[in-house]
Amino acid sequence: MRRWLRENAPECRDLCLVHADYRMGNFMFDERSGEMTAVLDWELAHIGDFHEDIAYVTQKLFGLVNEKGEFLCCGLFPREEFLVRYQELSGRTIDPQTLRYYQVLNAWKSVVHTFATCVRAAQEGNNHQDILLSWLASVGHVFVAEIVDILGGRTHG
Amino acid sequence: MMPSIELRLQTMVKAMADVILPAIAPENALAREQAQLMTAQLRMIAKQWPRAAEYDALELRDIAALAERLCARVTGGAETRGAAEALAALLRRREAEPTSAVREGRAAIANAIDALIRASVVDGDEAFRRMSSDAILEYSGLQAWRGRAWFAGCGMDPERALFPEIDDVLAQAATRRANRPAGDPIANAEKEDP
Repeated sequence: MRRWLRENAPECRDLCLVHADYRMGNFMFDERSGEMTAVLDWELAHIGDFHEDIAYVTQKLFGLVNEKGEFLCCGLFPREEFLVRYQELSGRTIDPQTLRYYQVLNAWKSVVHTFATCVRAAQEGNNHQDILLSWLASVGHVFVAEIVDILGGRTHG
Repeated sequence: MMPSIELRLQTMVKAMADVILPAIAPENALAREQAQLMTAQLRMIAKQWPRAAEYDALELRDIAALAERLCARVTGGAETRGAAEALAALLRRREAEPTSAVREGRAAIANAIDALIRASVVDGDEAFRRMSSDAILEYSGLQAWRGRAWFAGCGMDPERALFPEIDDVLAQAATRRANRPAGDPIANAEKEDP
């Protein structure tokens, strides 16, 4: 993975503030108007490429599959509709290859967060949420499957 | 009659659900959340426990098969060949001690594969680097599919409804093994299977 990420890193031509944990659960909204009122959890924020946040918000784990079997980003939009609306409202153009790269990078970081950080923190017992961390760690498989899907492998036996 | 592990887990879940959880005040949110997680973990463990040894053994067999496949096709310079020899030696030691700790055995093979991949970046042939990427991707896909089925009870995977029961996953793995042709490197890696 490290080799692939180094060899395929795209050039960033439009530096901006990246949240890096942008998903349902980290933003608040007014129920009556539907307007977003706050974005939470900025500890991973950095200067980078906007594709990183777009890729993050479309990750499988943060969405749901509706009754029609359709995947909704953050449980809100079908993926393609979300990408089209983002471009319309932001004036930016999403490059599919760059988006693909950041999908892999985000999934890889999430594998590290779940299979390494969550497990180690729970093992060391130094957190008041150890039981939650050991519960969350199991979703690392979802991120591995996402990497395999994007890079063209098989995700089923 | 000895109380089985299954019975002990079942009684722990009942105590949590019927006595402990109702006794926690609603305003004690952290305690309620932790008690709910504990109950859910116990329920999931109760379901996994009867097949846990089989599941761990399958994970070990699959990573050993990957290691065998990589060793059979390795080409490159001294560093790559040295790492492959270390991996092959580890597999031979495992054959001599097939009942040694399954999880530790799996971790040792995974670390040796990692060392081989790092070495191949230094002086591995391009053909081996391509082959090893494909093999690891294929292995990871299978492992992720199995892991998602194993942890579907967590309720966090948005596609959990698509996954088979763990009994079916293990049955499919047994069928896959039985159908591999003689001489297949994966079949060879699994020759010690019961």
